[in-house]
Amino acid sequence: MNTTTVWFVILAGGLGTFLARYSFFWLSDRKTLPEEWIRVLRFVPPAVLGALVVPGVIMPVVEAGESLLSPRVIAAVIAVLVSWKSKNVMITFAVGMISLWLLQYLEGVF
Amino acid sequence: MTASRSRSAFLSGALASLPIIPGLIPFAMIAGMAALDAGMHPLTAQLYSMIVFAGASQIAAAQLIAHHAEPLVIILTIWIINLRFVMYSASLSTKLPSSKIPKPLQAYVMTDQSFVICAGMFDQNQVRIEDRATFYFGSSVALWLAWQLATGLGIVFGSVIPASWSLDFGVWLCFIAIMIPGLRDFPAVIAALVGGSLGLALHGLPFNLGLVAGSVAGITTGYFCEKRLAQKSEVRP
Repeated sequence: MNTTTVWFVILAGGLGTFLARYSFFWLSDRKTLPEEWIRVLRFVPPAVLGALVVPGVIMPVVEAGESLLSPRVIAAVIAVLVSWKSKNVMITFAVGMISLWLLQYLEGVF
Repeated sequence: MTASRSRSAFLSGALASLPIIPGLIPFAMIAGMAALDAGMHPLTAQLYSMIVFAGASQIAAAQLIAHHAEPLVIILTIWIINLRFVMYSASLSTKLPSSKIPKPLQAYVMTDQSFVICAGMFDQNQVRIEDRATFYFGSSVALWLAWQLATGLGIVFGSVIPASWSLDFGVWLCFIAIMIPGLRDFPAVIAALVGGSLGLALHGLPFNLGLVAGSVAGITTGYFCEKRLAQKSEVRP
């Protein structure tokens, strides 16, 4: 891809991202928010993050031809459980990373 | 607000962001490395991180550039991934009083992390209303700085880190840590499950449509699930 196209992608992507962030800051100066909108928007983060994370964790495992009980998938499940219980980003990150390293080490041993 | 009050609100916001930063560093480094892998000049890679400033979309788009996807598909992917900021914007706009910090600047530094930190603390009334905009800005600016520095680290030193460290896995851990605490009720869990399973099932579709279809299906299912539950509870005496 040539430099111009890359810059076009960066600027258009950046502009759309900024408009998403600015949207209601701009709107709310003018009028109140339609409640039905908020009801729909509430589901954007779980749905989009779910659609990113699940393939993101599982696809590399599938593409490598490994079983679904691979260190990555198990460490991700552990992270989900830890996050559910602790709601703490740092603990989730640390436990997830350490689990992955331990599982990868064990996989190498056995 | 006096200057010292304002400074202390800014600093408290920045301090509230500190615990998040260790998780952010590998994430940002990977974003920097991914931009280089996409063939960007190191300086372009850093500017890319400053212009878009949204990690997941930066990494996804860089991977698509590396795979020579259609430019419009890449732009659409960035937009879809970052659509969630509309939600944060809607929520924060009701929580932040007007302040001297320009709205576009407040909007630019918005992240998943600063939203989660600030919305949580504001809801529990841990920050005075008149301090909230400054607190939010302090929290966001601290994350912005950490993000840009760590992107730079990734651009400069990324090639030195051994692949066996599996740092790329940190990206998914960050998203898990942001997503899971937000699943506060049944419809939200359903939205995540539908989004995730459809995103996975349709992963092979061209133009990254699996992400789009999964997201839209998840949002729709969550919305109607909530409506249904509300109706049921109305019917009961």
